[in-house]
Amino acid sequence: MIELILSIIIGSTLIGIGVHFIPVGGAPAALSTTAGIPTGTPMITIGMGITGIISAISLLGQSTPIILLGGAIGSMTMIAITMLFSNMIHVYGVGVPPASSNFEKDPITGFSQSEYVSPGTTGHGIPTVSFISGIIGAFLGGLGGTLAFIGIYNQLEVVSILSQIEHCSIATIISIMIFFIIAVISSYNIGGTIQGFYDKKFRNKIVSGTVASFIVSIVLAIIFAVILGGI
Amino acid sequence: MSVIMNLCLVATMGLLAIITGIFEDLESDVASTSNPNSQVQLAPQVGNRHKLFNRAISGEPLLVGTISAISGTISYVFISMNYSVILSLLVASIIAMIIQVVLSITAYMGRITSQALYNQPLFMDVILKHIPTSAAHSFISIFSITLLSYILCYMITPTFAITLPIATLLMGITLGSIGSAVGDIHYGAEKLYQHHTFGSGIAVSNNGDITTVDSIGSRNSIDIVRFASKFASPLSGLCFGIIIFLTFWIYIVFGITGGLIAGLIIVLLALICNCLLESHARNKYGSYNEETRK
Repeated sequence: MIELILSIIIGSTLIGIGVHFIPVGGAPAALSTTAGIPTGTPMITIGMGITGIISAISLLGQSTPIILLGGAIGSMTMIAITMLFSNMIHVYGVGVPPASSNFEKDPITGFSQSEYVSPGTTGHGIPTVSFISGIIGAFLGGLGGTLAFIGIYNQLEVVSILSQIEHCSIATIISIMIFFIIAVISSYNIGGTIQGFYDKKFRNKIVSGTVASFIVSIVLAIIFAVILGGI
Repeated sequence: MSVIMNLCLVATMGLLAIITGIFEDLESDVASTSNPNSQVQLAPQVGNRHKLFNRAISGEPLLVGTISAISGTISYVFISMNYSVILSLLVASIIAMIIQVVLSITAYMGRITSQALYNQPLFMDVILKHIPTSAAHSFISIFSITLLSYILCYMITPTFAITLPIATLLMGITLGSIGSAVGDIHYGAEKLYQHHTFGSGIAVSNNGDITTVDSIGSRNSIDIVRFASKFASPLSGLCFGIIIFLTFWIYIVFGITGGLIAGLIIVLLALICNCLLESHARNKYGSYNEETRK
């Protein structure tokens, strides 16, 4: 039971921190009005988390660190490929270079940003520093989601007499639920768009986001401990 | 032998993922589901009456996930009752498609009637023309995703420890997430604002000023499907296909530890490709400060 509670608390907090690293532009990014991944924060977080969980399920039976790493790498693969293809559409479909006015200069590539941002917008596409931030976010989110999944799965294996497939399905549903709740809370904290760890907004938001995720994760852990303890 | 069989199955899953990705994105364009739909909704408020379809039931991942889960659940029930697999998947996909059609019609009517204050009429021909197109695309998408999940749950060895409805839900949400993050940019930033300058983001002051006329009269969402099918939708499909393929392929070919290393290498390769793409775009298009862009 302690393992379940700890894994949900640590997992949910990691998801909460990871969400803040993902560069999200929301609906305006789909019009190339702002930089970032052009969909809502919860939407991309859930998609990323689920790919991590699919990866983790395919590694079931291995040692826990391997499953955790597998989940994290599954999420990283999903977000990296999605961001790359998103940028391809920006460059070849819309004809805009990836740039953001949220920072002066990309610290990784050294590209200056402001003159490549089209007039009347705050950027478009995903610059390299935001891309790296997205990968870090996916690593944390995938690791957290898989940790919660493993904790719930192991608890079900102890308390329930159902088959492995049923345990796995229940653990998946509950993990997705955790992703939904934490992603929506983090989304409210972010309040629209964020361009990753190099964005000035990140420093203002990360502490409150982590604390909120931690508090919610305690509530979630208690609720799920009661539900899973009773099966 | 099982490795070769697994590789074939994973390749088939990748192919099905490409098909479902393409058709899901086309469906989201014809029914105007995702983020760019905010502009279609905004247009009447700034005086642009249009004949585009307008449906926003929920976020794209949730809609696709729900409809796929309905299809997965129904086919799971049929398969448990020992009906033929293909027939079960087919019937389940048709039922899920009908549910999506009902949602589309009610959502369109609800949206448009709520805009009566801005003199936006409800066109019956928009419903009659768009619903069959949307339904056809959604059927192919739902059938492919259910078949993909069936292969994942029942055919790959060792068995993927998850039931069919949950597998379809997972695949549906991931697909919606990718379709929303990749394909819709071309629709939102380019086709929806076609009379604005190419090669520039849409300024906030232009929001709602969407293109409402086409070469032969008023523009409808079927024109948008034709446009999206040339670039954005195939790329969305390819993105989903690559993700599904790589997620399973790396562990089959390289083993567990090798697979994890291969996954990391793929992520690094994507990062390098992104750097090259960014540098290429900057060199090719130039900055916005120049008087005439290249």
